[in-house]
Amino acid sequence: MTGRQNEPDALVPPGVEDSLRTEASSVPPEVGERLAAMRRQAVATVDGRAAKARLPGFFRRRELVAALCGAAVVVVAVLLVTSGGSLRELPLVTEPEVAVVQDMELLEDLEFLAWLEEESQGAG
Amino acid sequence: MNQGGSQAVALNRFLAEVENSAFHMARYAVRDTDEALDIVQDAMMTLARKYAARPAAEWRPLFFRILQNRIRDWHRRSSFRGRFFAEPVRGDVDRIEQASAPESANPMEQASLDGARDQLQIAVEALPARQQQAFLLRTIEGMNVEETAQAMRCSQGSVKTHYSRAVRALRAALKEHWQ
Repeated sequence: MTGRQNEPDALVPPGVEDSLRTEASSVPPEVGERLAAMRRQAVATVDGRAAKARLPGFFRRRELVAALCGAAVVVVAVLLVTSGGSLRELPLVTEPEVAVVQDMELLEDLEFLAWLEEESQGAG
Repeated sequence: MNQGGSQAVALNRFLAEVENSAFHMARYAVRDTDEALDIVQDAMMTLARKYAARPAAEWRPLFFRILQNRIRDWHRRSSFRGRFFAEPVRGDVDRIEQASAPESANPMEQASLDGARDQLQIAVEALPARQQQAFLLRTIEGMNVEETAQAMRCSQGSVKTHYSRAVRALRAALKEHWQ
């Protein structure tokens, strides 16, 4: 408490003041709980504003956030339209698989040629 | 700790200091616990939303000014309701009937003290609004005349007038208990 030390104030007996201050310093438990809950709610208001304030100022503008969202929607739409609306087909085989298939074909060709040779030698 | 966090801590500390006395002030004014709590909650939220960024030294007069404004609004609404809807006066208990009269006080010291306390509370509740505000701000919160004038949004001379009238009224009501 501040500021009353230099003021002449003999109008209110100390007993009356003490009685009022003593009463005012405490509350019933249920009232105390409700007051504490209200206090936490009020302080949370300040905390919420502080968290928002920690964002770079650039991102706090609602108009900017709305514009960015709109731009993202437009970009996605443009991409869909320009791609013909369909996905590129994925290759059915990978490169290593293509190499294996080509080797197999070569092997089969060689086997065929070997068989022809044997046939020709057998006929001849 | 960042500025927002330290501000929240300081606000929490301040509100914890004043919440009990604020409740009692509101309770004296409206004579109803739930209404008093609503008023205090409103005052806390208004301070947090609108004035938390102000220097902490300004919070006390600002908070009690908000509190007094809410009390005044409550009285206006009550007056409006009473004029048109004839609602009974709200209050938890008829304190006057329940309080012991000084003449019939139990000779035991504790009963006498309880009777004096009841009489004091009744007398404070019965004060006109501005006198009650000035008296409680100076007595319970220990505000000086200047701080009280800021909280009540009136001149320092008005504070002195309201306060002295309150003291005279209490002295007359309490008689032998005024000591």
